[in-house]
Amino acid sequence: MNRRDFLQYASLLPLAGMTPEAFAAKPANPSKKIMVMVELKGGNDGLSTLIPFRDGNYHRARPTLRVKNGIPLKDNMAMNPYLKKLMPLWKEGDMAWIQGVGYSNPSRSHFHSMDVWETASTRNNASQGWLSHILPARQSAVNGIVLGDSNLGPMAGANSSAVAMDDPKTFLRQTKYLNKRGFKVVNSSMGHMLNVQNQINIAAKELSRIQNGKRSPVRFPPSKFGRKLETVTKMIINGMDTPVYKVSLEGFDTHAGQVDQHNNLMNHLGGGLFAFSQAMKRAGLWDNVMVVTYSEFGRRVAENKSGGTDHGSAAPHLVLGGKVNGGLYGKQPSLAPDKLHDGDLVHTVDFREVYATIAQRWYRRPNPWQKQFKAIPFV
Amino acid sequence: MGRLSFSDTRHLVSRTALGQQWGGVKALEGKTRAEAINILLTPSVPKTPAAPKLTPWAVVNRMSMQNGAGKKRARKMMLHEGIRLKRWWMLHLLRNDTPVNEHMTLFWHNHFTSSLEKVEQPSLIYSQNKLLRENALGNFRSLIHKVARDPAMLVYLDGSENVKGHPNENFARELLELFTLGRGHYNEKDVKAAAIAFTGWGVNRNNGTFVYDGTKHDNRPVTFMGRTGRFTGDQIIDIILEKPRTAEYIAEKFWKEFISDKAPDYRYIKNWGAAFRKSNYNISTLYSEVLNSPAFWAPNYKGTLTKSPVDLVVGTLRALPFPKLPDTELVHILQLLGQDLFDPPTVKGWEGGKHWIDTQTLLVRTSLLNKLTRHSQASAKVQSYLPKTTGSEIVEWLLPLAPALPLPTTPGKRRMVRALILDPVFQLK
Repeated sequence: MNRRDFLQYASLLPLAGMTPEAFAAKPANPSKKIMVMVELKGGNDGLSTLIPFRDGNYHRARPTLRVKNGIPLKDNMAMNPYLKKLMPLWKEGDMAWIQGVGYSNPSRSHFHSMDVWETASTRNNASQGWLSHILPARQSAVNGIVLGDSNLGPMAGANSSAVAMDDPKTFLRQTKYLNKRGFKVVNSSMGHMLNVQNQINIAAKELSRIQNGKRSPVRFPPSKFGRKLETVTKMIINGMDTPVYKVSLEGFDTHAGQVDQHNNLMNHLGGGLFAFSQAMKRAGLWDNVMVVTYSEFGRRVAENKSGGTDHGSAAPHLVLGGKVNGGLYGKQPSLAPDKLHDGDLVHTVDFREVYATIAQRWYRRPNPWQKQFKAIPFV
Repeated sequence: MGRLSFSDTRHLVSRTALGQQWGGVKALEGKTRAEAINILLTPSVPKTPAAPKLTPWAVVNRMSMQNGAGKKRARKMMLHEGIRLKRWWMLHLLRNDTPVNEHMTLFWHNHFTSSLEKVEQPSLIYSQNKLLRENALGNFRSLIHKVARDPAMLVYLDGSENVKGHPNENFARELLELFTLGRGHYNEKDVKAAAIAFTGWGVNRNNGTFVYDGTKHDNRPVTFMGRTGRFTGDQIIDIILEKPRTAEYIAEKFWKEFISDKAPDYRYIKNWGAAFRKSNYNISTLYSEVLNSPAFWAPNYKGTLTKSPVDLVVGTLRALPFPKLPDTELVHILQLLGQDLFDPPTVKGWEGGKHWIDTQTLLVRTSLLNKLTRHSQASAKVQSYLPKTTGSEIVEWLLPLAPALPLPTTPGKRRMVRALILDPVFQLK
């Protein structure tokens, strides 16, 4: 879905004669668990993020792209130096890396693989986001807010109670035209419509309250990603009753000239997430939030001839939070040429094990995949 | 059986055609159910307008085989032509004079899905669309045999990769799971056996036609649905069509499309399935059973189906002469509303029903209808077009149920129509 078009469609003339009906603002519930999902759009190169720096195969496969000055964490793995701002979190045990995350018969299409991650189905037959299987639908609050994207992604689905927006201001402008009045429901389709209408209106009501709410004293990097995290921070510290936020960082499809591009992205990621952690600590909410990254795929082991990397498979993912059990989880896939599948890493952790952990150990909800995928004790 | 009231007729038309054009509704008022249904189900021969300019597959292949730049150029061209094809269908949806047949064409597009995203060749998708339109109210047996040979389908479900020694089960699986029997009515061995029977079916990439390559066909005997033999793909389809479940599965899809989101009453499904089979899979026979059934007319199902984006956009614009938006914009609106024609989200097609409405699409629906009905000189046309009839008949024409919100107290036809279109009940049919 094209962002610009959506905005265009939602900024039309207001509906005359519709008087907004007040929705009672819900009291903040700061004890609730919050997850901030960070989508690394385009397919993040895992081998330049969490680096197997002592592996000869790594240096052979990446003669020009190899990261030489990584920050050693443990077990022969080092972190990209541009993530150095996050080092204090590693030292405090608030940072976990899940290695080798992927799935069998991986798709190398951006579109299809993102679909797999968002629906938690490896067959092209599901359209509901995976979080709608975890979090119960709500009538009086929103389950999720997607910032900077018009796509609900992991929260897609008729019952997901999530809203997507470019930013709160734009969203408030869009929702002006929506009916604010309640109406008599005579069948379940109307009930659903009223429910969706209420969710949008509740989100709008909450967001207009938060527009005038307090700001965190912490300074965020002046990047697009930094601003998104600052917006999420404002929602959280002003008591928005929402368990999932999703932001994204774009530009990971590094087919050519990867080094500078990727370092720059790591810098945005590290700087933004560090500011976010500080803001949460200041607000006394660091134990209530967990940050989780995801991406459609990692990149191929061998670099290409344009100083970049092509679409690959498994990659490590980062988890941060006050309740996170710091460390490395899963197993770094082997880079030995005979252990690769068609030049790609073979995943050691299925991405649904990460989702199962989020369901069971974070939200205390049943694990919908418990027959196949078990939780990992990173939280 | 009595004569159809205005409200009955609008119910019938709004669920079977594309929106409820005043003339179309009025033409059936006062007829018996059977007469009206008979008229609807015997439309004139549907026409598929000539395709927009689409580059033949052979030319695209030559381009993309040259070098990397050629490949990029070819891909870009296909993307562009794909949008051209979507605009083409949008215009045909708006202008065609066989809306019942066109509605069924869309129904089959959602059943035998294929997407431009995967197939990449708009010319193949065009041919598939033509095939679906020509058989939309024809014979299901002949349709499914044709679909199995359809080049777009052979690419979409990897049938053209399914060769002796390297079976690809994608088509065989969806044939059983989504096109005919449904989950729970076959097993993995049946999928594997069917895949073997279809080996050798492929596409000629130079002219985009079906080819059968005997050297790639695995002729070993297989056991399919309890029968053992050296089967051809066509024989597999015929075995599937012998199963009563196949007809019932299609009947269930008709229930969902024309009656209700709620689980079907099995007695209906059983009867419709039996009639469908007895007619040797005549689609009009099944359709007629559905429309003549008490379930279709039951008051508790009226106004319970959520309009699809096509119902909403095309239906509204066919019924009322609002200023037309450019076709490129309309194609975009359908995408934003979650029904990107020729690009269904999954092989299961669009989930439909209440899933059409979520927090994103409700905002787009509202904004679109606002934009269409806002007062302007152009929309004054609507005023003069409105039928000369009572206010209450206008309400009955545009809404399937009583309005959910109060109507304006200031008089004015345009104001009234705007209020009706912005009423939540307008989203239903």
